[in-house]
Amino acid sequence: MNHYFSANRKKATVLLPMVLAVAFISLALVAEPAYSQFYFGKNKVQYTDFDWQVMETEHFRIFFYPEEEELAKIAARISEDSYRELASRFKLEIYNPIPLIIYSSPNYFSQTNVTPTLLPESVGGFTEFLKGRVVVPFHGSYYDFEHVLRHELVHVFTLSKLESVMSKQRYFRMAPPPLWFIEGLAECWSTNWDSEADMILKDMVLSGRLFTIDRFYEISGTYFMYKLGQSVCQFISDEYGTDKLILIFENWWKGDDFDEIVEMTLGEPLREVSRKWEYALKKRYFPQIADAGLASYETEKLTRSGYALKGVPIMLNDGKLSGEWIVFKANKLGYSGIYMMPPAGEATKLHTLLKGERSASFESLHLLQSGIDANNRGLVLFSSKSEENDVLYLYSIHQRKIIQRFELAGLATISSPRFSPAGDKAVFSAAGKSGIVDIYLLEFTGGELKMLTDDFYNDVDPAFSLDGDTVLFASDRCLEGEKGAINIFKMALDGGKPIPLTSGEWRDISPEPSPSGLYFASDRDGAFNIYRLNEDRSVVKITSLLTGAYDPRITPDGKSLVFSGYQDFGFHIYRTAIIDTSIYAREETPAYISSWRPGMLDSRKVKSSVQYQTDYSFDIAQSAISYDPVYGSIGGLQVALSDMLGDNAFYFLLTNTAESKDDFFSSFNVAVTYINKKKRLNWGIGAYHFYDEYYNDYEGYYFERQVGGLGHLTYPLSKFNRVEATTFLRYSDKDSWILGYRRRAPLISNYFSVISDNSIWDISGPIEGHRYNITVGSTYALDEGRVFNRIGLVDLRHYLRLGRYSAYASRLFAYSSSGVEPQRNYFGGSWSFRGFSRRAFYNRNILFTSNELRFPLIDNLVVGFPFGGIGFQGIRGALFVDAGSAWDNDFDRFLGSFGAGFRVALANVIVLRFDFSRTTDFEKISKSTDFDFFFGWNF
Amino acid sequence: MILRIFFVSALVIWLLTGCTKKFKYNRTDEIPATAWQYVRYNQQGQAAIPAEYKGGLNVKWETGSPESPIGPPSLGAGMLIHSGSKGKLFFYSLSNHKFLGRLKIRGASQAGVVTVDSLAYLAVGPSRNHLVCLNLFNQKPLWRASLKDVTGQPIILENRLYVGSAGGDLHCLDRLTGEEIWRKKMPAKSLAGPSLNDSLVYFPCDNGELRCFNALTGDSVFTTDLRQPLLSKAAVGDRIYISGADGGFFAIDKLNGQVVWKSHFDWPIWTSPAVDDSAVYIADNGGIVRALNKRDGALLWEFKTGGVVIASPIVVGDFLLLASLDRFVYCLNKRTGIMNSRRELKSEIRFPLVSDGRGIYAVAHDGSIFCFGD
Repeated sequence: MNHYFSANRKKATVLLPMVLAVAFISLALVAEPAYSQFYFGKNKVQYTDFDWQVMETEHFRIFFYPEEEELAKIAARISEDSYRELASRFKLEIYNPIPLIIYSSPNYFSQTNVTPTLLPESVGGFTEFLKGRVVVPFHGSYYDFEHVLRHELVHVFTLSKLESVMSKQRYFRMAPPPLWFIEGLAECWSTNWDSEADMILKDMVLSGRLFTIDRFYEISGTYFMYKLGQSVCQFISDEYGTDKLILIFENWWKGDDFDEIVEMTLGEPLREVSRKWEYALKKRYFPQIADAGLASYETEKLTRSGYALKGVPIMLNDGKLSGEWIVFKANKLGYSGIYMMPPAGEATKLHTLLKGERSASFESLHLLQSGIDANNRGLVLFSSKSEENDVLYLYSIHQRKIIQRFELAGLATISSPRFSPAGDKAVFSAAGKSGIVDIYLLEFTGGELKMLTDDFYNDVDPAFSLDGDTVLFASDRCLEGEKGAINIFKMALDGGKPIPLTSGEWRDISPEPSPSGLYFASDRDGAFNIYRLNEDRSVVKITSLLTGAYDPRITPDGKSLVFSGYQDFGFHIYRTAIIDTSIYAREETPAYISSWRPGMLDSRKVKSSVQYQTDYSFDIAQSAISYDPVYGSIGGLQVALSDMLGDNAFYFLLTNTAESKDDFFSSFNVAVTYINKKKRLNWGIGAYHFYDEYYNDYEGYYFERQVGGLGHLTYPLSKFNRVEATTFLRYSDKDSWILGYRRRAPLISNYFSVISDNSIWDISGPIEGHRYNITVGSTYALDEGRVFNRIGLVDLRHYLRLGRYSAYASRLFAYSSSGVEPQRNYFGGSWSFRGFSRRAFYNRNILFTSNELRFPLIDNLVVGFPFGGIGFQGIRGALFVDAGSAWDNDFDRFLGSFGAGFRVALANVIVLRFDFSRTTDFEKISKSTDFDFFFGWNF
Repeated sequence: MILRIFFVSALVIWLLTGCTKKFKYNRTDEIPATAWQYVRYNQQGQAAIPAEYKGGLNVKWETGSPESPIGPPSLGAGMLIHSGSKGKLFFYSLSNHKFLGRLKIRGASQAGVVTVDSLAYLAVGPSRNHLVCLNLFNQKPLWRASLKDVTGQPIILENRLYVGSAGGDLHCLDRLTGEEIWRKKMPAKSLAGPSLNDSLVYFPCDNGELRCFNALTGDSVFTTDLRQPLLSKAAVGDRIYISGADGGFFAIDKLNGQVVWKSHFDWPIWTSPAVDDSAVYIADNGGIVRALNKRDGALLWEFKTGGVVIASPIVVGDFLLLASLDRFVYCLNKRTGIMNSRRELKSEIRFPLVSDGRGIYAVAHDGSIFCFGD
């Protein structure tokens, strides 16, 4: 059977109300809407119950929970100060209070419902456009907190400025400024040019791979784009005038596109600005290579693929692994993990110790944020996010398993743990619900936890001294700490004040004690490099690299140093022999100064501070969402309301399917759904009335009126797994005028699903991990007390990574429905059985498997036209083999198809799929090649 | 059906012709003397008018414009003229406060209108990009000159008109024919436009240079580099007073361009100063308004408003008036800086106030037009 239908007749299956209602619920409940294909998706889990309060200041409404009240007051002060400065820069006042939602930890921030999207760990905060909400987590550093707050407020002002200019001119331009400009400006006006930014640009310039402005789209959304954008904005301000950045906004209505507006404002085209900017960078960075070098030339590079950092050299003395090893964290292509390699590098041997980020136990290894430790007894100490909070793990290299897990009550984040010399204790930095980061000591035996520092300073990177009596750590408790400086301190384990070991307006981090002195990384010379503080307080510069050296660790023989170096767009592990150079500096014995405190907003400027009350406002109000020839018009008027924290939402749908005036009042399709996402158990209820003329291939045309309600529960077991239950209670009146029967029945349908998804995506679809959905359900006719139908569905998908952009993907799909009115499903087409038409089959039993080899085809394709070029990035190829069957009562035979295709991703939003295939009944192969074009990601 | 056609036709005709009133200026009307001909009062840009004003901010009359203002209002030929966001000019009588009508100019006039006798000069911006001389009696253009993106108001000396355009050119045109008399290429454009004093034209450039030319010949007299963008109009009194976008404020010898004194403030200054016999007054983006001693720049007083100030302050009689984006209009005693009165509006004012000495006029962002007075 092969049926395509003209669009003038609407059709539907009996699943329509379920589809509509679940589509509604899915809008709100399923995370990663852009990537969740149909019924998969990872979960945003509400582990923590927040008691939200609201503080009103002159320009802000700050949402916080009681444990972070001090932080909220600090945020209030920073925000009000930033507001005044940004108002001055933008020449703009914002008259409605700006909603500012503060989380004291990135782990809590990841639970926010302000956006349904799963937030990657790299997101430092975001500004949401519908309600203008600013959502920012606290990572422990007040300086960084101020930077992120200001960055997001620049976005708020940018949006308001554009709106103000448009409204003044009564003109609306759909296209906003390019992302690199928006983010670059936000960086430019929120922070100073620092050593990390310098590292990124220096690396690009010196490697000859600087992106010119017209190629910024290639790094859109990445950290590189932020820093390049910042650099360009700074260049415009320095070279063309401090007024020019804001004049670009003032002139926004005068040109047709960004390039024209820039040219109008700066007097030069953007390509000329780009050329001058590039030249200025070369003039700045090229001379520096005379005095310093690049890691891969000056030292020995030990890792090759992906990112690798936080290397720890150890010496194992027993078993077949005897010898020197380096344990490190890496993200080779997709998931982060912990690995081990010999001193010669990973090319000679590589052991995968732990695969992270695929299960709830190792949800995130905090690749960049947290160090690890390992000792000569073959133990590895690391922290990982595990459900709500971070957990400390002790891993045995010899046993290849976790031997101890420490869930530390009250601690939300745990970073950079280190063993004591005896290996019986650990120190690490951690933060509780207040968000303040302190140093803790943990006894492995007995699990006793002791807080070593207890103040508001950001204490990080602890390490035991060689005798194990003191702890060394980096902290912003120094004189210039408020301005971002970090210095090294030591403190006795049995108490006492921290004593400064280094001092200065720079950042000294990652202390590594050794018999020859204290090694540490510092950006005192512009770029991060490794230094050693000797006993006589002289400082020796060990590395002199242009693009950064971090995380120094001494090898067991004490003669060389393993460190993380940045070069060629990524971090890798390098080793260098320790060669003493001349004394770089001499550390002054600093006075103990910790007098600064983060300023809080004067309590007189706080208008009110009250318990949060749910208040709803519009998210979306739109007409005509979609039209589907089978499901009818799933649309009409849709309205979505949600509260400020996004925990509660209402969705309304209103359409009318009347075909004559007489039917008007009886043909309204109305649905109301309420969703509550405040707690871990997400739930929703709804009511609906649907009436339309439908069609399916089994019954032909029929009318059906359905009135009822629904209930939906979703319980995420972890970020990757969840169970769902949905109930529909409805009265169904079905009138088949072709078959000449009418059926009225009160029906109750129950569905239960188990869903798992830990997949990683390439631009055209999943490329690693797995996804599965197992659903069972049944419908009862309440008046007759009998089963109306039953369904069972199994959809298993597995993705085996073969290379950076290649994978082998397999899928097994089975579906069955029985009963007096079984739920038949359409099957066939680009998303299921390729080579066969879309909806080629309409049956109650389906068994199907799909296998696909995904590989890169073209990285960058630019098609030239007389009016300009159009570029396509990342065109992927596919070779596939599908086999399956669909039947009602008696299994017939398997059919198959095979072919090749390619996928073109457009702006990370949509994927165009082109498939060429032939079908087979496993006896002969069709003579014609079927071509199928469709939108959507790979399965 | 006939009735339906009739009503629809009537509605269309009304919409096309009747719902707004086209501006007409009768030839029998006497053209009154102009009290505030330029956006900054006079061609010196002093923005200070002697008046018997007692510092009241009572609303003497109020009306509404259908369009938001896109440029500063002007007073001229007995009218308040404001340019709207949809490409029209709106005219209001100063004598009886009545709406006199509107004129389509099919573009944005960001610089404001200058009226001399029965002629109005205005620049029409994107996408028209011309300077036009309108005959107010017949509402027809007398001439048009193609000039791109003029943001600074033209100034007029006898039969000559001076205006800056995109790219930085300073043009001297015959104001009756539009013919170019001379043109000077500048290193950068000028947002604020020229000021004029004693046959010298002062032209602040966006790159920080203040250039001075002989108004008749176009010969360069001096160039002074103030090293920060100059976005505001220079006020010329005994000296040239001009503010910089990086927070600098300068007093410059008007004959040789030497900086006599300079001050620096924390916030950028995008507004033009007002200057009278006793002091020079400036307002910055931080919302602070200051009075400085003209002689040495010493701070006489300062006053903080609740918002950013982007509308340049003006002096009327003994009072300094300004609007802040905090939606208040402030009237300060110009000698002490003490607030005499203030009035809150529903919408903010983004362009300078103007005054004919009898009233203070403001056009708010929502199109409300106010006349304040005692």
